[in-house]
This record gives sequence, structure tokens and C-alpha cells, in this order.
Amino acid sequence: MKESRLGTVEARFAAIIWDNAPLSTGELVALAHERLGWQRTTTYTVLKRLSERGLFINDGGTVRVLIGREEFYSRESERVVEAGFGGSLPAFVAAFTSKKALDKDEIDELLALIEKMKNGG
Amino acid sequence: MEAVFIRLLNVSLSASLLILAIALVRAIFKRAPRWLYTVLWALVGVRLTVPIDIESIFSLVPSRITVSENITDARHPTVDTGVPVINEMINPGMQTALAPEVGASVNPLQVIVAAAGLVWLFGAILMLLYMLISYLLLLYRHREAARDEDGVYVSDAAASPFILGIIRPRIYLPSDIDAADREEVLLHERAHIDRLDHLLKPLAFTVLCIYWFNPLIWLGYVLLSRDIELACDERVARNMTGEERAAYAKTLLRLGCRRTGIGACPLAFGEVGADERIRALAKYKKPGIAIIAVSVVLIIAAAVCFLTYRKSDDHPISEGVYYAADVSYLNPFSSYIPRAEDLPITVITAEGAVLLRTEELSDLSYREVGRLHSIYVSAAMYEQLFPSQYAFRDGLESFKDTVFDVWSIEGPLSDNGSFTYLFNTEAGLFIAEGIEDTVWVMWRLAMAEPMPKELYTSTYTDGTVGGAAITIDTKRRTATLSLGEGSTYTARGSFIYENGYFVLTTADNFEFKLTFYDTGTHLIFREELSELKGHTLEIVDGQSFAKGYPIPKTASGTIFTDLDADGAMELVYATCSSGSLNWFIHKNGRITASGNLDFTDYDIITFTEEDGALYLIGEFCDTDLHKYYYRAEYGSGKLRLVAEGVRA
Repeated sequence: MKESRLGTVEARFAAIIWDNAPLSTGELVALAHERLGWQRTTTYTVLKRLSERGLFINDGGTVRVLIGREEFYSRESERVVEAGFGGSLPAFVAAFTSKKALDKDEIDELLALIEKMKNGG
Repeated sequence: MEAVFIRLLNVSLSASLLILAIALVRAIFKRAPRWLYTVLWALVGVRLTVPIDIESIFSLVPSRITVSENITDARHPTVDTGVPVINEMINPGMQTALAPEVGASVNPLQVIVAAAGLVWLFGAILMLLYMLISYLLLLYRHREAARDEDGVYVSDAAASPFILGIIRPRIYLPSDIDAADREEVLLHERAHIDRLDHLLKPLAFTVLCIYWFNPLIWLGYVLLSRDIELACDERVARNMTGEERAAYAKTLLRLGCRRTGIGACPLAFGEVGADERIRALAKYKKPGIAIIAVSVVLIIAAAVCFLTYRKSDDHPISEGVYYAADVSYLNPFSSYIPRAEDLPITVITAEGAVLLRTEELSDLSYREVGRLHSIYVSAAMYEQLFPSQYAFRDGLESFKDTVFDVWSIEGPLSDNGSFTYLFNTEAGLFIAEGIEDTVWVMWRLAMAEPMPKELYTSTYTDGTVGGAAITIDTKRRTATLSLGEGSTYTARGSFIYENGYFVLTTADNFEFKLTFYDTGTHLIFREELSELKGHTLEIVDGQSFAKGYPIPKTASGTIFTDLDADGAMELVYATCSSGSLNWFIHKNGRITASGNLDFTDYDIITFTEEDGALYLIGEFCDTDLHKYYYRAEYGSGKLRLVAEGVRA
């Protein structure tokens, strides 16, 4: 897997570990449930993934840090947004989508319109 | 299953009209609040899911049943759209293309409808599976979403905000959304939830899964999706100041410009682009009381005009016992002159069953010839049915003008190319009998008496055994048939009362259908069988039953008799060709001495006994309207023509 930044949610999970390591897997599960609403299986899955990336290690039931927070964040890299199915939502889901790309002229026009809105009241 | 598909087809046709009407209003009524349209689309959903059968004079739906569920049985298949012009355009073509061939074992329409039904079912299942799988995939994709304190979920895998879940809807946001945008987006998503859109959209999609075959339903769904989004924006903007609106619009613009990653993401169902939404926001003004009032009126009008049906039939056919008052149409090429007495007493029951009594039989001989099926007769069909206008007493046109509706009497015996129609007109009921596409004779009916409540006595109507005496033992639940010469056949089984007649199914799966009626009034008995006492019907050799449609007397018939004098009864089917006057024996069957039945298909004719000999006697008219008669003697297993001639 390419080295990349953590997704925001992943980062929140990593923060829990960085803030509390070393901690037992049980405690981690409890904290993840409390703060992220995660089930036990999700916690284990993500922990495993981050461990494979070399950030943490599950040492017989105790979670330890291998790469610290500052050290990790100092390595910058391009963020890759997951595409594929996540890019198009099924027809029956209510959404806030707006998929058409707008060109520069359209954007300028709309910005002007928004300014008018502001003043028009 | 075909019946379900046809019913859905009919409902979707009436809903299609409402969809078109809404699309029209949408194009015209620009100042309307968007929620008006989501309510109107919901009405379409109601029409498609709830079986409402209310009639009203305001209905704009021309036809409740465009395609009859019995269309696969019809001799001349037609549809009734309720609009005469369209009926005239479609039906002549349909009838020529789809009319079942006489004698063909499969009717093309049966194949088409069965195939269509299967395709529909397959498509509906596929779409429902798509819905289920998409939902599960979404859940799986966002399984690592984190729940924030305000109950909102953020997911690394989310490219744009959405709502998932019906009972406890969850708002999902992209995890990297910034604080300002998050506020605005939540306003929108929460408005969706307040408006119950998280229920409406999946429900609408489910309806689409069922009615996927109708393109207008897809149109309705796409427009509904768009209207939902715009209505949601309107709800958010309703009480906002200009500045607040501008901030909201900015979020729309920002999220609309996001690069969503690899490849172009397709525009999903009816999603509205950011530019259209911002423009709509700029133009939006909270609707005044007048506009709201108009909107409410439109909703009520739509419900009344499109969810109800036109008042049906003010001209019901009365059940009762009818006789022929006179012959009102005669095909000049008819080979016999019918008299009013030639039409058997006709009984029309409330269930739409038609029973006939034939005078050759003993007075206990009603048989069901079929059921009434509503049909549409186009102008072209009328020309075909009644080819010679001068043979119509007052002319075809004036007859046509008086017709309310036409019914086809369809029964199990439709394989000899003949048909019987019942015309319900201002002048009363008419029965028209014909072959292929031409009516040979039409009688005007008059009611002898209305149906009574109860009666007794019996006969049987299924022709599997002819010329026998029947004893019904209701206690032991048996029917015993005496076949003459002391041989009997006892059928034991259970009687089931079904649609106007009783069915006895024996252990070895013979089915006897019986109609019970009063000897005096000939009116049908419809109470429970247990009310009957045992009753015996005696038939003497030489009498006969007729089965199915009346066959011109001169042409053919069958007798149940001992043809070859071997001691066993046979059923003999014979025809006479009016050209050559040759007799042909077609089929026969045997009843063995032990009482077992060994029979084949047959109909029955009448022989007359005179001076100890059996004769077949008949009369018919040639095209010069001369009455031609013949007499054939039966003896030694043969029929011999002994006399023929023309009567003045």
C-alpha cells in the first residue's frame, strides 16, 4: 500500500492510540466505541490495517506505538480519494450531490449571483 | 401471474395520465412551491399502490380496465382505452393480427401475455435486488464511519453527503468537510429528514421497481428526485436572510466544484446540478397565501380527477330468464330460416353466466354455454359482423347508435369457429350468433321472468355421458347414471358449488357439472345441495342433450344409441353436407356392459321414431329462401336418404 495520509476518521482513531498508548485492546475497543461509535470488529480491522502500515503493533493484547504522531505527520504525500462505487450514489438515497463539474465562467457567474443574494435580502 | 401483470398494466396507464398532467403543470406554474410537486408525485405513488376504485363525475381517467384480464380467451381480442378515436385506431389492427385461429391449440395473445408477464417479473426482481444490494454495499463501504456528538456520521469513504436508513436515518458526511460547509449541509440533510424524503425516495424507487415497464413512471421518478432536492433547498431557504442564503449558496458552489476523483462520475437519478440550485435559490421568494391556496386546490383536483374512475355502466344487464321476441337480423346467406322459437330460453345469471335450454331435449335441459366477457366492437368490426345492411330491419347505423356495450359469451367450446355476442342496447338485449366474423342471426330478447330465489330439480350439463337417467343421492353424495339395458355407472364424490353450478368430482377424476333448476319455472337453483332431495331424471332413447353452442339443425348431430345392434350403447357423431347430402359417421364411443365408460368427444342430435323406425329429419333454407327438407332412415348401422324436396 502506498504511503499516504490518514483519512480524517482513521486519523481520529490513530489519535486515540497515540493519546493513550500503551493500552489493552479491550480498552481501545471501549474508547473507539465511545468516541467513534465503532463495533469491536471494525476496531480490530482498522488496527490491523494501521499495524500493517507500520504505525502500531498489537503485542499480545497490548497496543503499542511504532511510529509516533509527529514523525508520521512529517511525511507528506498526495492524498488519494477513494473513487469507484463511492463516487456514485444509488438512485434511492437522498443526497446533497452535485456532480457536474463547473467551468470557470459558470463559477464566476454564480459567484456574482451569490453576491446579489447577499445584498438583495 | 398474467392477471397480476395485466392489472398492473391497467393501473399504470391511469397513473401515466396523472404523470403527464403533473409534468404539464410543472411547465406552466412557475411560481409554485416545490413541495406542491412532491405531494403530487406522492399522489401518483398512491394511485400505483393503493387499489382505489371510487367513481366520480370529475374523473379524467377514460378507462379503468383498458386490457381485460380475459383478453387471452377472447375470440376477437380488443382493448378499451375509453377514448373512441384511439379504440378505433388500435383495435382493428389488433383483431386481425392477434385473433386466434380456429382450431389452433394456442392463441397468440396467450403466448404474448405469458411472455410479457415473465419478463416483467424478471425485471422487477432484478431491480429490487439492485436496491437491496446497493443498500448493503453502501453500509459496507461506510462501515468505518465515525459517529460525531451530534449524531452525524463522518466517513473517509464518502465523496458527498447523503442519508441512509429508513427508520433511524443517518446523515453521512465526507470526513474532510470543513466546519462552515458542514453547518450548511446539515441544514439541507436535516430538512430532508423533516420532509420524510428518506422514506419517500426509497418508497418511490420500490414503486418504480414494480412498474419498470412503463417509461412514464421513470419520468415521474426522475422529476420527483429533482423536485425533492429543490423542495429541500426551498425549505432551508424559507426563513433565511439574504446573507444566510448567500452562505448556503456558497457551500453549494464549493461542494459542486469538488474534484471527486478518478473518472467522471455519472449524474445519478435526477440530481440537480449546483448551478441550477443556486439560480433557484436566487429567485426563490416565500410563497404568499394565494399561491399556497392554488397549490392546495391543485392537489385536491389532481386527486379527484386522476385517482377516481369514470362512472361505469349505467346500463346493467338484468339477470333473469329471457326468450326470443323476434328475429331482428338474418344473414341472407343463412341456410335456414330461424324462428324466434329456435332460440332456446336463455338465462343470464348475476355472475354473468349464460345458460340455454334447447327444445329438442326434455324440459330439464339447461346447460351453461359460457360467461359474459366485455368486448369492444369497432366500426370496422360492425361492418364485418353485419355485412348486408338491408338485412337489418332499421339499418346498421341506427342499431350501432343505440348500443351501450357488447359482451362475448365465451365458453369451453369455442373451437368450431362460432361466436355469440350479447348486445346491450337502448332497445334491450340482443343475442347474435355467427361463424368466423359474420353474424348469421340475431334475436331480440325479452324477459320472461326475473330470477327466483330458490328451486329444485336437476339435470347435468357436462356431455361426457348422454342420454342417461341420473339419480342424485345427496346423503351418500353420489350420482348414479343408468345407461339403459340395466347397466349403471355410479359416480361418487364430493359436490362443490361453484359459480352457478355444482361440480361433482369423482375419485377417478371425472367431473360432472350440474345445474339445478325448477321444472315449472326453469329458474336456476343456487342454494346448498343439501337442500335437495333425491331426484331422478329419465331419458328415453331418442331424446337427446345438446352440448355447447347450438348447431344448425340441418347440419349435424350425435345420438346415444345402439348403432350396430350389438347390445352396447354407442355415441355416434354424424354430419350432413348440405351440398351433397352425404352422411358421414365421425366418431363413436362405447359403454361396456360392466358400466365402465369408454368415450370420445361427441355432440348429440335427434332421431325421431316413426312407425318403429328411426329417422333423421331436417329442414333448411337455400339462398333463394326455399325451404328444403330431407328425411333419412337409420337402419342396420346406416343412414339412408329416403325423401327430400322443396317445400313451398
